[in-house]
Amino acid sequence: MIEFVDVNYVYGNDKAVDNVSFKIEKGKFTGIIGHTGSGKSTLIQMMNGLLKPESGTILYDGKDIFEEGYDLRSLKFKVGLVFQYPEYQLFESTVLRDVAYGPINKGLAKEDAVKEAKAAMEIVGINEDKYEKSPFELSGGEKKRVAIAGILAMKPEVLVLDEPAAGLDPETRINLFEMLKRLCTSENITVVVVSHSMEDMAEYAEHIIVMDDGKLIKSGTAREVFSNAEDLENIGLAAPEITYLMCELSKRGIPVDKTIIKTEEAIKCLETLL
Amino acid sequence: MLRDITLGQYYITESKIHSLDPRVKLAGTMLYVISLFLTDGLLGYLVGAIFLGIIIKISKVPFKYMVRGLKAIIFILIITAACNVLFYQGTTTIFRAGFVKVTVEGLEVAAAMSIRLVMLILGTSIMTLTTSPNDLTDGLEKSLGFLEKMKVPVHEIALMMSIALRFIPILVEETNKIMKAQTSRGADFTSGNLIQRVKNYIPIIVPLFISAFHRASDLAMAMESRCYRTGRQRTKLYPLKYEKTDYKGYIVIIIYFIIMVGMKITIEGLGVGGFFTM
Ligand SMILES: Nc1ncnc2c1ncn2[C@@H]1O[C@H](COP(=O)(O)OP(=O)(O)OP(=O)(O)O)[C@@H](O)[C@H]1O
Ligand SMILES: [Mg+2]
Repeated sequence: MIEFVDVNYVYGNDKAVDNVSFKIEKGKFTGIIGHTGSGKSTLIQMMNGLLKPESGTILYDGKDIFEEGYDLRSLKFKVGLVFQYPEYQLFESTVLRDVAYGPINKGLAKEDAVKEAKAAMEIVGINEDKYEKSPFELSGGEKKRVAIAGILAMKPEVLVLDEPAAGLDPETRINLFEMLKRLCTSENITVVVVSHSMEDMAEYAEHIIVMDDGKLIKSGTAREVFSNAEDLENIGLAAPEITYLMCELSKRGIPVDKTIIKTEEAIKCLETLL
Repeated sequence: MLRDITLGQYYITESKIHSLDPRVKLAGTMLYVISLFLTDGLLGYLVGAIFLGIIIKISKVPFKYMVRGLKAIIFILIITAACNVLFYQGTTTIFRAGFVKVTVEGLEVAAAMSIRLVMLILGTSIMTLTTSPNDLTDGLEKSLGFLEKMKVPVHEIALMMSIALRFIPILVEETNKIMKAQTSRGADFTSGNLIQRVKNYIPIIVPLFISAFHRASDLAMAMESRCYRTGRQRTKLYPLKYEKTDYKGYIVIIIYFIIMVGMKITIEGLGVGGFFTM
């Protein structure tokens, strides 16, 4: 779906992305992890052509997006990007009109745009009584959801989110990730999420990309990446808590699988022991 | 990071000029500008240029970096020069076509004008390049302190100025971020007629203002919670104090000014004629 080949990005003199190559598979849930300043946000801004790499190629559906004549604007509708603090993008007088902004830009008629907007808000759980409110009267978490709806309403093929869970309460966070998972499995949308929460990533992501200082350190299934806690600790990250628990148990002689990364699996594994 | 956009384009390095008291630099710049307007002779420009060259050398700001600031006015420079060349009513005609007349005097005036403009820009940019915006406002506040007696709220104005300066890079970054976010939602800033284009910017301007107001109110809250209040009792963490080099600086600039004035008085005749009629 999206492929990076030897991509470099430089801000002034700082190398933010250093010779990175990877592939994002269609219909998969991909997680990007890495410590603060490791280049995650820079990386994803190249996915929809907002930032142009210093060198290297970015392919979408096999086509070079920075090739002469490539329609970068329509790429933005295919790769929906939700920023780290998406609440800054709200501007309209009502929530509904704000969410419909993307679809209207896409060229939809007003009624269709509104229909898409309502459908998107249904998905993120914004109730009808909020439609006519000003987006600036909402709480932080609600703003975030409206902003995500604004991207969802464009019906992207790929949905890229930069730390969508930051500042959300646990319930909303779980709802958000469940929603992303549903979009991924039932609507066949490719989802890419940047997150600092190893637990969330272990729980939901199928594929994980690990960044450190602009370099891609590792790319593999969630299990491959997280079961090697030491490598992650070396770059200031960690494995999910549950994996540590499993390691500790196995160290004490209890026969459990050390590569378990999800709570549910751990419960199942422990239940068989009882 | 965003240094090339920051107002005042402060160039960070260590030099004698950088460490001068901002008041000296303010006074120096003012005298320099006045001296340029007094001068109308080649010799005067030469002395002015040499003085400027020495100061630039001492300031350790790369000349290339200084000239970058000139790029912005190159357009103005060319237009003024062209107007002077084409329309100046001189007597020694070199070339004429219709109502346009190129004269020797016109060329001279154009040259003098351009030189003066360039020197003016370079001279004033020395100050902004070697003084951090904060020092600059401090210097202004102190130099204009006497206005307090006339009930001008100098301190408050200076505070407003330094906050404004501080906010410029932040707002630039913010604009950048919002623009990216809206572009990701398919905003298009390049098509349509004029009204349409202005309208296209609403999704940028509204969030920008909202966030500016938020920042302003956050800052006010933070200042208040630290018991900030204006009034004459305020003292500075780093009060401006003249050092020996500052007095030397004053002496140098005054000597320069006297030379320029002296030249103006003694060798009037050497000037480019009719310069001040412009
Ligand atoms: N607009 C910018 N101008 C200059 N340098 C930047 C800019 N944005 C990011 N950088 C630098 O690029 C590097 C990578 O930044 P990036 O925002 O991609 O990190 P990140 O992994 O998203 O971090 P975080 O987890 O804090 O969001 C950092 O060292 C940062 O200082
Ligand atoms: Mg980031």
